[in-house]
Amino acid sequence: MDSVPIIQAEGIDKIYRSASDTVHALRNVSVKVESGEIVAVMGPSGCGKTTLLNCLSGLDSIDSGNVRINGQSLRDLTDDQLSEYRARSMGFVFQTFNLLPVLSAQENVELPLLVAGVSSKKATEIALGKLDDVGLVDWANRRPAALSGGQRQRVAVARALANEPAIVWADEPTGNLDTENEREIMELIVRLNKENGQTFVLVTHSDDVAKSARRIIRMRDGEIISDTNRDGDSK
Amino acid sequence: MNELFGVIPMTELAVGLALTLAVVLLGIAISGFRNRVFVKLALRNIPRRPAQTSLIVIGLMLSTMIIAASLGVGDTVTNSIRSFVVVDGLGHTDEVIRSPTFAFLGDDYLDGSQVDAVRDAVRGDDRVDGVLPLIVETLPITNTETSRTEARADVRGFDVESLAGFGDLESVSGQRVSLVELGDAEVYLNKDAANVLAAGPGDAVVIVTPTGRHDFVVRDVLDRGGLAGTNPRVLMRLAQMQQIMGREGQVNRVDISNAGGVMDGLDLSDEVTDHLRLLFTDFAVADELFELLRGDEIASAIEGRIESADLPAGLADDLLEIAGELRKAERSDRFTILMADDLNAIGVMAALERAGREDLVFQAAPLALDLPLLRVTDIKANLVELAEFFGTIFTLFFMIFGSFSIIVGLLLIFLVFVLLAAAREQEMGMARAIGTKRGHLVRLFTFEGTAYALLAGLIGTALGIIAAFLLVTILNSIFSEEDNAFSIRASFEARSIVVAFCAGVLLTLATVAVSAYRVSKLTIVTAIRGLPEEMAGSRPRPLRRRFGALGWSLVAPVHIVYEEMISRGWGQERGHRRVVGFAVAYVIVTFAGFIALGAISGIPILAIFGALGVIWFWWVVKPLFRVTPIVQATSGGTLVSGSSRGINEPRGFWWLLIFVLFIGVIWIKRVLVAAWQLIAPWNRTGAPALVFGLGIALLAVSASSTPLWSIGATVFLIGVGQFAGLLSRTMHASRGVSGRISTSASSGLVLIFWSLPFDSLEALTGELDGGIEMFILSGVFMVGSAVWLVMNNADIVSRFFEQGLGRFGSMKPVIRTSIAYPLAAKFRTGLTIAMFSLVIFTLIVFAILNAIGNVLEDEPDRVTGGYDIRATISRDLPISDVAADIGNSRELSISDFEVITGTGEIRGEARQVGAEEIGYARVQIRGLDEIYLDTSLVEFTHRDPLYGTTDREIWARLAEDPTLAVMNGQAIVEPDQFDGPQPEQFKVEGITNESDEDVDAITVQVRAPGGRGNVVERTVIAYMDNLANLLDVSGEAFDDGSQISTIFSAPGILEDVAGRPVPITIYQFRLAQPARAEEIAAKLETVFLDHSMEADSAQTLIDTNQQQGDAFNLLFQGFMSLGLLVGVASLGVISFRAVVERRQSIGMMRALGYKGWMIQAGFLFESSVIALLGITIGIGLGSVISYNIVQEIGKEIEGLKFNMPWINVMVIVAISWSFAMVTTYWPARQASRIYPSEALRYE
Repeated sequence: MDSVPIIQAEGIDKIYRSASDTVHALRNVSVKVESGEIVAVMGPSGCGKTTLLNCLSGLDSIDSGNVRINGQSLRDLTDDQLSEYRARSMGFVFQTFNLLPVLSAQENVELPLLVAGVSSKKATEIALGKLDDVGLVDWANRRPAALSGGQRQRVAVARALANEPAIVWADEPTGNLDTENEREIMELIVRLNKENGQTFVLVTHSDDVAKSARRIIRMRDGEIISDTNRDGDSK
Repeated sequence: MNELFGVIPMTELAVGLALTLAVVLLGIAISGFRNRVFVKLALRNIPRRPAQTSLIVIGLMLSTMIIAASLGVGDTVTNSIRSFVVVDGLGHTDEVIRSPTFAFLGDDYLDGSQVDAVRDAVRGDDRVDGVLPLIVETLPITNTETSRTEARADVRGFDVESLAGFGDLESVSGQRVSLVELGDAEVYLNKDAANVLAAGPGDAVVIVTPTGRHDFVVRDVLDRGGLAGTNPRVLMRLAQMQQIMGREGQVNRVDISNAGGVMDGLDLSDEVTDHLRLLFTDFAVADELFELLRGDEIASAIEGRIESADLPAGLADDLLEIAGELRKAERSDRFTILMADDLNAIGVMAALERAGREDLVFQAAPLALDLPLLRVTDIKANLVELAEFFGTIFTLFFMIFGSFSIIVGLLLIFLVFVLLAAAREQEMGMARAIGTKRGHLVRLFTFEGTAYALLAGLIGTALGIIAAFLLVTILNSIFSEEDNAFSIRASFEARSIVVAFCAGVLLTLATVAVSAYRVSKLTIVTAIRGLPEEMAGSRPRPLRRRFGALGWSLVAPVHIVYEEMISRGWGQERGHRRVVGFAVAYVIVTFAGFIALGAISGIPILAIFGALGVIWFWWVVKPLFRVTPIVQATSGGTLVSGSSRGINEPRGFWWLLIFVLFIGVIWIKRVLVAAWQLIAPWNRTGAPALVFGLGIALLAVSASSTPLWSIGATVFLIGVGQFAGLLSRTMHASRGVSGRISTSASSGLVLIFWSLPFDSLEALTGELDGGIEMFILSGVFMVGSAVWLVMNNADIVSRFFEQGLGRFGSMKPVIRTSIAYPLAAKFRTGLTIAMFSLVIFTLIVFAILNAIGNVLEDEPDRVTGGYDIRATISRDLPISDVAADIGNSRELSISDFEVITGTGEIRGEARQVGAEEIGYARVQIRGLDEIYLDTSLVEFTHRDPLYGTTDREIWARLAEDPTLAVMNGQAIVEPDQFDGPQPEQFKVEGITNESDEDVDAITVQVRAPGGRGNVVERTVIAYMDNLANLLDVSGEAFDDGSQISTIFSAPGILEDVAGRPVPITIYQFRLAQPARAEEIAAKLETVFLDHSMEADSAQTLIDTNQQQGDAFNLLFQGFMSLGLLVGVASLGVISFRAVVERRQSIGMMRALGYKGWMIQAGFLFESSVIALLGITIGIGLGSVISYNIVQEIGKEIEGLKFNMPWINVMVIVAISWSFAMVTTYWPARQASRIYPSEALRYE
């Protein structure tokens, strides 16, 4: 019996409607991701990469089709159940880091743990461990404003991994970073993927980032135009 | 209302504020015209976000609304009283002429020749349109049809031949009637009398006079107003009245009506009064008096008296004028007029006594008494003044207690602009980056703020009028009683509306300007990157340069001004000529100033310096005139418009004018800035604050000013805190720790200082002067320092919340973020907490002060003296044996009564033997019978232990020794500003209500008014509890009902002073069954109707008094809770802003697994934290200051206890917190519904 893909999307459509305009952001997209994969989603601006990530992760709703995570259809979940699901099984990294500016690095990493119901003491312990993993334990008490862009993104990665989620969604994780920081972050992601076997879905413009992925999905106008492995072989 | 707070003339204030606002708006309009793009940018924000605009306008309008409501209440009270006492009560009567002996024990009838003299005096005088002789008496009346009675009807007999000029009478059915129509045994009743007597036309009534009972028939019932007056009044023909009083051919009053209507006749009041006073004086006596007093010695004595005594303004002015007259060689009419006023005469005699010229007093006092042949009172002007006083007091009350709400409103305006600035920070940073100047940002905000301010001013004024009407309606229900003709009629004067609108808009604009200036200080990089502003700190300039800058600012004003011009871009291109023009004008003004100063001060060197300066300057700038047409313009040259650019500059003249107007301001600002920059680097050491604080405190002690002393001490204590921080740094404390020590010590010390009992530092400073403003200052400083302390230790507060509440599973992350957000924005959070605290502070203070009044309920004997009924009768209708009359009556039995006491009273004058003040001053004298002395439970707050250590012992000594006396608390209480203008009255020297319980006896000399009769000495051995005054409203109290210093002794004192027997007029009864007090009081009135007895149950009086007080306090609490709206609005503003500001973070939190309700709960919890912190601080500090106030009042009223009205407090907490939740609910719900992907996309 084949194993169940961790992410399975079938024929999903997403349409944004405004008073004057309708945008078909995703058109009949189907995709499967196996557990432990690092998948890069690439394509020109406006092709629907971020929308795909949002729809697959349950951050956004879909108009038709279905998304299953570990066999669980997201459509069947209420908003609160989706939130709980995200808290337990998903981590997010964004281009603009999205750290809470009023919390320290450590508190930012602790936050998903507290949401998941971990005790404060345990959360602190885990958070410091994760910050150590990303090399920022000495900066634990700094607020985001006092950190560089690369450091902020490493805190964001630590936060995404704090709950040891099955899937980490990363939307342009290196988009705001210089080459050196981009390399460091990608090395970190690859290392953690190897160590923990977590699934990473990365949205990126960067070929260097894509090179770190085992599989690359290319999109245009809301459709997947290719789905290849690192070596260019079709999936 | 003519004067705000009794000091600032309203018309002038309205004109001044309107002009100021006009100038400010003109300035903004000119600036707007020159910066049209910024006007467009500013105004486009307003319609774009209607919800935000509405919230801002609501926030901004509250201050205006509170000012408008306060003024509206003042106007209403003034006009209601004026309308009641003047229009309805007096009608066309402007002046009243009475017998000169009116002041003392009756004997106040005039004979026909005196009335004829009055008629002759005004015949042909077109300022007077009516002279009406009449008799006015207070007499009992009974309606025999209904058996209803009125013990104190105002019965008047009018000369029907002289009614012209006094208006018409109208019956309640609307028919015009006349007194001429009355038959011999007929009377009219006014509406109030008819109501009390349940009488109608045709009813038979009986009026009791000293000559017996007299039957009349009611001809008709008249509407209130004019001669029909207010309160129960009976009208008849003069002949009839003379007959029933046994006063044939006599009257006791002649009313004068000035030309014009009811109110405009007032304009002639001074003239007519002076004219009549002059006519009705004995010139031979006036000459004698003038000769006796003439000369510099007495004039100086009078002036000395004015300086040393705190006299009412009107009296002081008159005395000063008399002093001036006495320096003249010949007696003037003015002197005669002034001396004919008995208050002035008493003032002059007091001055003579004080100057040690008692010999002169013996000669002058009888002359002064004989001077007026008739006593002329400008009664309408006096009553209008009284109405003004009450209106002023109400406005003062509302304004003072509303001032907290006004302050909170201003803080909200500030907060609104802080938030607007935060919202646009990046935008503004970018604007600055591409070349926008700071001034442009200030203008941008000022234009937007002006639009809001004008809108808010209009709406606030309108709502203030509505609020005033509502308050007035409530006031009406508090004070109007059944059968009471007095009703409060809402009114709003145009000038009050102008003042409210202009003051509101100007206050808003000032706050907007400060906010705009603060906004413009942003640093481009921090703004664009969203970093904290403190990261942009720069190193101070070296000391040498800072000194240099200050010196340069001081010695080179012209250059400074030139620099200011350049910095404003006025020095470029065509502006160059303006600068020259400004500099020319500035220097001319400066040198002209020297010349003027020299001329005024009489120091020629200054004038010479100025003149030389002008000559020098003319020589220097003369060449400029050839090239600079603007200078020609300023020096009167003709401007030719339409000439080529650069040659003529018409606008330059106006710039010059504006600049000259503000030249001093610019220079002073520069000097102050340079001085601040000089000391700023040392600021953290505490040295500047220590030095300035000490300086201000020392200055305050020498000026005897409590507010100044408190401010000085506050600055000093801030310095102490800063110094503690410096010390901790020298002990290697980290920057963070030393900062915490510095701010915590500063704020903590300031908080402790303001929380201390009011007189705790008196040993250090001596007695200083402070008024009600100290309450406002205390509130502001206590709340400010407490919030400062809390916000600087916010991490401890947050830990407390987290550890306390963070145990509840999924609430943990919610609590963490909802505490972190407000504590990260300390300024705005602190501002909001401060607003909440201030509002709760005032509400709590009022709630606690409201609760202390219960002492009346707890210990009623202290008020009533242990008597259940208090009754007064007419002096003209004395009772010979009250007990016998009760025994003989059918309604009452002597067994109903345990104790019956009687007291007689007269007016007099007193002085304290051996006191610094050797003049006599007004006092009330009461003779207490033996039964009273044996049974009174009235307590004493101060007593001479040689005469007794308990209250009973003191009363017993009084019974044993008729040369002993006691006085009421009024004799030792120092008035405060709410007591209004204090008539001169006897005050004991050396003893105040704050003195120890044990005092030494003093000797007091007492005599009849004006120095007539015998001088009687009494030893005053104790002073009564102030509460004993509360219900003691005798016929001889002041016009406004307030109590006068009174001396109590055995009955012999009355005859000794008056030289004849004085009848008993006050009766007090202790009942066998106190619960029957109301019933027996009513029966007493019936039994003693012929003596005009008015009896009241003491407990009922206490209850009414208490209920009115409670209702009044509740009204104030309601008014002050307007501030709560402001506090709640601020939470709403913050929450709405937070939803926008944190949209991305909300998205991230949702991505991390926050459920919708968690986001909502977070917002609600955040508001709760702010509201609860504010509420806690407000309750704590409100309790502290209330405790101090209770202790202070306790010095006057023994036995006051501090009670925490927990239920009231809980209600305040519940309402405040619920309001806060309701306001936050909507934005919180909005936030919870944001879809995560949408929020994350938001920029």
